[in-house]
Amino acid sequence: MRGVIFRGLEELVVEAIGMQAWDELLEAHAPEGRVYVSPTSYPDAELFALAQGVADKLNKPLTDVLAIFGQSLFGFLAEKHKGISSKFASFEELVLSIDSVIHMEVKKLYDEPNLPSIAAIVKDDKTIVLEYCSNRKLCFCAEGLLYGAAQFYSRKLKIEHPQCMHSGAKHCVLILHLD
Amino acid sequence: MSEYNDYKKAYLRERRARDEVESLLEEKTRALYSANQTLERQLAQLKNQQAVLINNERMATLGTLSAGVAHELNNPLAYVAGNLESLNYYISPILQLLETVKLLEQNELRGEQLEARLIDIYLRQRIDEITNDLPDLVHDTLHGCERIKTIVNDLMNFSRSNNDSFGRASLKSIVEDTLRLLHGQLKGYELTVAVEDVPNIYCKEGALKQAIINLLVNAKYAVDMSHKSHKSIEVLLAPGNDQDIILSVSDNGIGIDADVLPRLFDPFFTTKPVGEGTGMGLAVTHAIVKEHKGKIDVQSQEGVGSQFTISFPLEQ
Repeated sequence: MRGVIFRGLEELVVEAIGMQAWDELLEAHAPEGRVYVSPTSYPDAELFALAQGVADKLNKPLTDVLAIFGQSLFGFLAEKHKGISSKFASFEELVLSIDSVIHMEVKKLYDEPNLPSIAAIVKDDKTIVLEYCSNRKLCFCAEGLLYGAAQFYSRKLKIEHPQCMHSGAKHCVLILHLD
Repeated sequence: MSEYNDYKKAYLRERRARDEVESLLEEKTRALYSANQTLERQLAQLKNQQAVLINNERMATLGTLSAGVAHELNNPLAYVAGNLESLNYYISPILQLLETVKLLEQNELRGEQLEARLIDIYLRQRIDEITNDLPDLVHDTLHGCERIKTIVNDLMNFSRSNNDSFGRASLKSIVEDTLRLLHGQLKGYELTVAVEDVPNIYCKEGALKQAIINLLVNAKYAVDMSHKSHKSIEVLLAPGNDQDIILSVSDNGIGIDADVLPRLFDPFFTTKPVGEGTGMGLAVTHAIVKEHKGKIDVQSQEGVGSQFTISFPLEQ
């Protein structure tokens, strides 16, 4: 997993529960002396262990933590890559461009072979059906990112998750209901 | 609390430093990506231009070949035409004989009348000569037509663009086809050909014929320029080491000036007089060999001759 995602988690933890908590998480779940920087890749297991550590500290289920993290991560990434986020005039435009524009921009910057594949279909002016597929199975984080994006565009969003990779499906189906 | 605040201040400063460095790095990475895209586009454009140049050179070679091919076609055409003329002369007695057979069958000609007519045809129409000549005339005419067909096929194979795709092919056949194409032009030269069976390679047939023609036409030019009475050109094809095949074209021509050797494969470089030679022959040959992941080497001594050696890797 790219360092930029770890940096997003670091930002969230430091802001929400403090610098000391982040230090403790690093002590417990990362190799000694680890400093996360965006362009470097780190083991996926490290991210999951840190996220689980956050869940343990907050006494919340991991899925909830991933959702919160996703939401916060969107703001972090949008701030860090203003050039990209400013390209989209609306939430819908952004969602429909995840694979063709956003992931393409990620590939320009990082050699990232494990990007999720995301297909989005507009059902009507208030519904988008999104298919998420990734060997990392971070669908809850994806949900969080979508909530973060909705917040960024001041939209109210509800997500249904009727089909999930965690239940054995080949891909997750997320139905996005907009206000 | 103050110590904690100082610590946090230092942490935030360090985090800002990371942000700035990352931002700088991303900016450079984007510029690098963009430059890479431009280079890829230019590379594709260059490859396209190279393909156009090779095709132009092939068309120029076709022009060079045409004189020789015309001469090659003239030989079989001459004896096909001569044989047809003789056959035309033989038609009349054959028709007379057939007419006689018809009259006999219709009982209109019998006994002495029939005998007299047959003797007359025999005496007047040189039937023995016709009987002797006819099989050879037909055989030679068919042979001439086959020869014309082969020459035209070879020329068409050379010019056909579908030869430009890679496929498994026999280098031996390619060399033999090419030598056949140049047969007319290489008459009067002592041509030594030693072509061994070698494994098929993954290649573009048309392009390789082009490369070999360029080397042979250059060898012929070098030999002509030397004004030697003994004009020798040698073509060898043989397995090299375990990993390659060697093709060489040698001549006993004027040789190449040592100063010229480093520029020999440069595009538009020629030692031929103005108006002769495009300066693209060896450049195109070099490009074709490179495209086949091969190597081309030249050994030359002024006044003695030159040898161009191409090695083709077996696994491409």
